[in-house]
Amino acid sequence: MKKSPKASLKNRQLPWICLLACLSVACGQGSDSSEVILAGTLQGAALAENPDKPVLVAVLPDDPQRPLATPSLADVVMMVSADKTDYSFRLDLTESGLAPGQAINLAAFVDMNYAGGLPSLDAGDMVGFFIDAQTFSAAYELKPGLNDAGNLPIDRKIYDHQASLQFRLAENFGIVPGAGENVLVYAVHSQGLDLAARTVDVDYVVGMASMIVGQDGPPYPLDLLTAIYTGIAVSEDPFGLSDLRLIAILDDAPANGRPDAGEYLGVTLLAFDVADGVNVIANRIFFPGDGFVLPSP
Amino acid sequence: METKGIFSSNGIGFLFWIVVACMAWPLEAASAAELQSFGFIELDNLVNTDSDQDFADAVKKNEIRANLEVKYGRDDLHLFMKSDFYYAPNLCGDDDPYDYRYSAEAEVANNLRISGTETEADFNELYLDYRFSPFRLRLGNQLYKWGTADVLNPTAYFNPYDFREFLLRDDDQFRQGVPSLSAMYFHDRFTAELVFSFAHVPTLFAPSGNFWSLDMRNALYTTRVGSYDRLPTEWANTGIGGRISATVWGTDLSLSAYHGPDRDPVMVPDSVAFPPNEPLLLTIEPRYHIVNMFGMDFSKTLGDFVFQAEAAYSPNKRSLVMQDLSGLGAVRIPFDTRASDFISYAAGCNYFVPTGKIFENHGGETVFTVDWFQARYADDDLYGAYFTDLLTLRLQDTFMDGRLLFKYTAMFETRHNGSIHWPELTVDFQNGWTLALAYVAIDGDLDDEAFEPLFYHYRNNDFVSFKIRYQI
Repeated sequence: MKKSPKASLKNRQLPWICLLACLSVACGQGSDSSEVILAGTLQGAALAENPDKPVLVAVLPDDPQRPLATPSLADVVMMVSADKTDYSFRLDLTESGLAPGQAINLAAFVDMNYAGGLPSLDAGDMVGFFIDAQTFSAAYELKPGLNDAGNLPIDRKIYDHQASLQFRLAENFGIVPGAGENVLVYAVHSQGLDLAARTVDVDYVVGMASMIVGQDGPPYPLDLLTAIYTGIAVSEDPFGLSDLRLIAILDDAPANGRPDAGEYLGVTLLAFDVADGVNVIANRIFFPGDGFVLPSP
Repeated sequence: METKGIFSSNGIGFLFWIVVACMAWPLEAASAAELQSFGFIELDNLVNTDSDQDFADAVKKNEIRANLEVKYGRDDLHLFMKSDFYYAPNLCGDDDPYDYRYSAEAEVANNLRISGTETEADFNELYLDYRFSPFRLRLGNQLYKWGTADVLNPTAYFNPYDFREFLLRDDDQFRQGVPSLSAMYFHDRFTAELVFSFAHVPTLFAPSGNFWSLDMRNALYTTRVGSYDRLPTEWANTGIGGRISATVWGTDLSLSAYHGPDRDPVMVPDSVAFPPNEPLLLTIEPRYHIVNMFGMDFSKTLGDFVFQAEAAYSPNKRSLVMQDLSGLGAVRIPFDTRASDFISYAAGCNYFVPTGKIFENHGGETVFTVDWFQARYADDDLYGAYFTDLLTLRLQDTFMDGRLLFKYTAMFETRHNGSIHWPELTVDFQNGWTLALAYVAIDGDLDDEAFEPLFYHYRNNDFVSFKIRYQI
């Protein structure tokens, strides 16, 4: 290798000037970016009873049509493991593509049948959802900074079934929704229904549907949820639920896809049982009218 | 902090270096011994051009490199060393001080590479050379530049790659030396070389968190490359290979064979962890297996063209067994591996463009290079090779009597529309100083691949680099 001749002073200076220019440009100060953090805690007997199972918290795009539906991991925007020391969770969504103002759904689950490898969400697992007990909306609107998701109960068990209902609205008495009106329908276990107070405990909701009168039926379909509250007695093999009622809300004041105080309430007068597969409900949903409306919270 | 390598209980590599030192000792007294030394000092700066980051974070590397090449002794008996010392301080003090790290922890490799987070010393060539006609013996760290291809050499079985900057390290940094004993026999009609490599050196990947790391992050999990542990130093893991070369009818031909640790690891999804408030952590472990390889290469000059090709076949090279990844719960971790017939080849040519005939005052040389590389497993149930279907085009032009060097390298990974465009301009002041300015643009598609294609993975790693070197 040839040894280079000695550099002149002038030639020596040029590279250093270039170098200093490069470094001074490269070392500029950056600006802070706004964070979006979602934090909360989990609760439920399944957590303490299964300390060796993965506990995961998932953020999904908001799907107003399917609150409480068992999420598909393919739709997850971000998923983290919960901190098992105190069952808290904290998701940094800053670089997730979600921005303040956007609505998300939040679900947490315990992979009860986890046996190593990658976790999955399927029958036998325990799951919990963020859901507003008044509006039955699962939408959580993100704010800049820290978002408090509160306590998320993991109290629904996932069952492997394809149970669904077919129902009709009463057409000869009470309030009869007109064609084109939107009706929100909930399948509820009787334990969660207080007709005197006209309230529904969201835990006992086992199915929900939003239907447009005259367009989606009759008969109108309603798929039962696969995630069912542990307080409800469930027959597993074969799958079956008993003592259910259908509750309907005439979504017209305003028509916003959510239950609002003052909207008419309808109900099937008799309880019914369901099995796996399609269940045709003989009792029609009846809107009594005359002040039988959703109360103010 | 754990220290690995020659100071571990498995210290055979350490003993090897003691033997080399003892054999070098007589050189001190050898008559007519002389010392020749060369080297350079270089400052290499890399600035990421991805706009989705704070500007201070864009500076990914400020590295000082000191290269030293020493030959001590006579022509027939000498010690040769070509070493590099690196220091990459966090000059800009950005949020992430670990944009560029040499290793996750302090370690000493079997080839005497000593790495820390901010410093490294490499001795890729450090050997005793002893010649007695018609033989040549070398003992120590060596590079075996077998094969004729310009980018990836299927028949370069011994020297593992350094992928810590993807495919973008300089040629003299891209391969690691291996501690070995080589014997070369020179005959009038052929040359034969026999190599015995007794301590495994694994492929290098950028440590987790590094700008060049293979960490992959999606909605459900992140991946990390685990520790690239070498195979234990024992007889079963030694590498032995031979190559015989001859010139027949004006064509340089070589045949080669190898038995030993595979140069390329199988990247096995090995375990899943659940760190609190973090996505699932899927650890990918590089695993090495013993392979047999058989290869050939040739090179033929025809006018201004030099044609070259090489190919290697293995009857037992391993890869991952495919799984149905549509449902996460059904995925088995760790993945299974299985041996298969495997072939890889590279073919291309260099065209020495007669620029001087067109421009009389050109004062340099123009070379256009084409290189195609492909690798295939015969077993369709195995995931394919990480690097395959690579087309490389390079135009290199030296002009103004060597003062300016322009090089444009374009690499295309045809399976996923991956590409690298790499223009580079070097100014040689011919007084010891050189400046090099380069820009690298990387792109690629995700497609439906189970594992993120590497060109897609590095799609945000476009950068501008600025190097200044002083030749001593």
